[in-house]
Amino acid sequence: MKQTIGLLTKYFGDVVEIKPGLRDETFVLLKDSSRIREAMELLRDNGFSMLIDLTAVHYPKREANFEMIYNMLAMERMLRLVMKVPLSGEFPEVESVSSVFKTADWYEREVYDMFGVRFKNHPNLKRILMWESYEGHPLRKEFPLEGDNLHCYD
Amino acid sequence: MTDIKKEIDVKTDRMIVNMGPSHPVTHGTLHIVLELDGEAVAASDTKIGYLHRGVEKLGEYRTYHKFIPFTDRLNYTSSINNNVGYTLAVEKLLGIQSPPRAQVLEVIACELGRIADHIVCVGINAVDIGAFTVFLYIFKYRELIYDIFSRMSGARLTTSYTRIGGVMRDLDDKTIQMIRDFLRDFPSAIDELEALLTRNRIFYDRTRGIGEFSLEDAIQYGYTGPCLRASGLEWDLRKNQPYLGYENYEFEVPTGTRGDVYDRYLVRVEEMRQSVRILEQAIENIPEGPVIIQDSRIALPPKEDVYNTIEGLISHMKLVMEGVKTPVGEVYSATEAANGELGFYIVSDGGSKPYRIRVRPPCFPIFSSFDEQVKGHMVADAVAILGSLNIIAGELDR
Amino acid sequence: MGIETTFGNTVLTTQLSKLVNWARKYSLWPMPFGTACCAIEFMSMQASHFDLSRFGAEAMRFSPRQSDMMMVMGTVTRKMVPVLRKIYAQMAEPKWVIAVGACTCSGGFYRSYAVQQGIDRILPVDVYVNGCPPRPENMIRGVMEIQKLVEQESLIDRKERITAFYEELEKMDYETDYRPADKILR
Repeated sequence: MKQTIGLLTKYFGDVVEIKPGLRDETFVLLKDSSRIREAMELLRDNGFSMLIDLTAVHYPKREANFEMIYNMLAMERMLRLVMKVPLSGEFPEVESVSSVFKTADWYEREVYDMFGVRFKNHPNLKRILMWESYEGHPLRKEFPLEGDNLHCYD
Repeated sequence: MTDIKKEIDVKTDRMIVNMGPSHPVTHGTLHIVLELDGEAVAASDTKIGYLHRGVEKLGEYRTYHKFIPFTDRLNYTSSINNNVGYTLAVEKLLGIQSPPRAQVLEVIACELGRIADHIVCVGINAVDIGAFTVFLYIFKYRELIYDIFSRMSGARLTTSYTRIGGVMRDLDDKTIQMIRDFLRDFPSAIDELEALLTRNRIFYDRTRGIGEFSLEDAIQYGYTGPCLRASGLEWDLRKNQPYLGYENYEFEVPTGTRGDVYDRYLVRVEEMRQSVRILEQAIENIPEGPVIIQDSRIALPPKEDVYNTIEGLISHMKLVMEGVKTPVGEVYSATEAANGELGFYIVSDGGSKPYRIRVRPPCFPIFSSFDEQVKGHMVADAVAILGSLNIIAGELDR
Repeated sequence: MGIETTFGNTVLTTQLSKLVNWARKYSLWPMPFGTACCAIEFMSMQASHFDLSRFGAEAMRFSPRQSDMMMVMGTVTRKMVPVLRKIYAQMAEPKWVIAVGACTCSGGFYRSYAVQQGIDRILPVDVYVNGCPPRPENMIRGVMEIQKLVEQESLIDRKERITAFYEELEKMDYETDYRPADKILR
């Protein structure tokens, strides 16, 4: 793990910040969201061969109101690393990593569907869980649990 | 079969075929739009979300305990594995461990759940291909597992067996005897299943070389579980990142070589045998002791205390009304569920409800590769591939 | 063979609808519309242990055009609603609907933005089966209730009842009136 962290700090300098997790996780905060693809490529080429999960969290009270979460797994060394990327804005935009990990394609569509985060250079950025004409992004905090309309798909 | 397009020179019009959302082979509610060139699949487009029930959103409005029933309905063919996965995540957040007896009971529950899941997957995959007999033979044993679950938790399918810091109920002697009987009979049932399928010419021809997936692709797509192992990587969280004391059990991780439907079937069958092995070891070595953590801030006090002492009553009421207090922070906990890595990412803001709860379903990344897998195969093979991936819509869409 | 051996060459006097309903009762062709967990229990109901075939309604048809009893099992999400409507419309008359499980009957504990709160706002449900998921025996009971209903109700009454359901559905205010079917059916 130290090796990976060393590598990340070497390439990204001040942009990354290492945060110890509550238990045994390692969180890496990448402050510059435009360099996420670069960081993913670096991690992929250094053992973190699998993108386990990609999701987001909405923090309406913070200035950076979205936080992307990239959950990485190094299979040979059995290491887990969570990369976090803060984003700000009503509909923030971030570089897609689907060209680095194919699995990111659907995950990013889900994040777009549920949070309204846009992904640059995504091959097929459409809603995945809700239907195309649905309005609103359900997992945002201001979205009511029972929805704001009762309309069906048709 | 992969180069079927080369054999046929005749160009036909492309035909669009809709499979689903209500179709017998879609195992729930998937929608696959196949573009056919003759009978070969030229392109496909999968649409999901027909069972999106908003579980992650609902979790933000429930206390940690109240989310357990929702986990039952994620992968409803092996509910108990989801229960275990979720409570392990919360236990990790709280920094506690369930007592040794509870851990063994959870292992027993997990392995029984894994067998039930594989029975469904193999049985239904065979039905889709045309072997109905297997379904009738093997489902008898799933009923036995469900009888055991009913005695363990009170429900056949939606078990909600685990609690934060342990399990809800101890195993009684009759249940242990039932599990022993099951373990005695089940290996012969697997032999029967293999006799019907493994060297069955039709089954072999329908599955060998269908949906081949290389290891590099599998890792790129985030495969975990039996599908990854069928592609040739010995990867099992029970071995690689042991939880619940899995390091104390002897078992092997089966792998395939080609990652096709046949390999996935073989891996699942072998995993059932290994689960039986783990169960045999676990059932003989259940330690004595409590089945839930003795901490009234986390687990409900015993009923005698609630009825007879004021402290018990108060802690019961506080726990039910307020829920468990958690530290501020984020944890990710992964377990090897029947389909692959089932992860829970919990963001806690210190309250009794999760700020954000994310379920990492094993099916989701696996199903995203379906389009790539079916290309060039026949329509009937698409059915076989879909069955072998074991897509459970409840988990896929959450 | 057949009924003639018992009765010989004789004449039976009965109402036509009674005879037809008696015959229809044991020739239901169910169409399983399984979406979620209840569909897994449905597999148990169909498989060797519980075996629905004992009650004369086991010829499952996955094509709506060949069936006359729809069993809706599992959560129906809003995305699924138009599909459900379409499949119901494709079924041959006369047709019956069983709502199996809490989610189908009322939305269950999924009171969220994505879930249809009970299919009786879309379809005329004849029998509700409780449970989350119901035990296979309970599902079989649901099928037997339908058999009772088929036997007792003449088709002319039924048609009126269904028409009344759709009239009520037209009048219903979707935002407030939650359970229209309760008033009409039963």
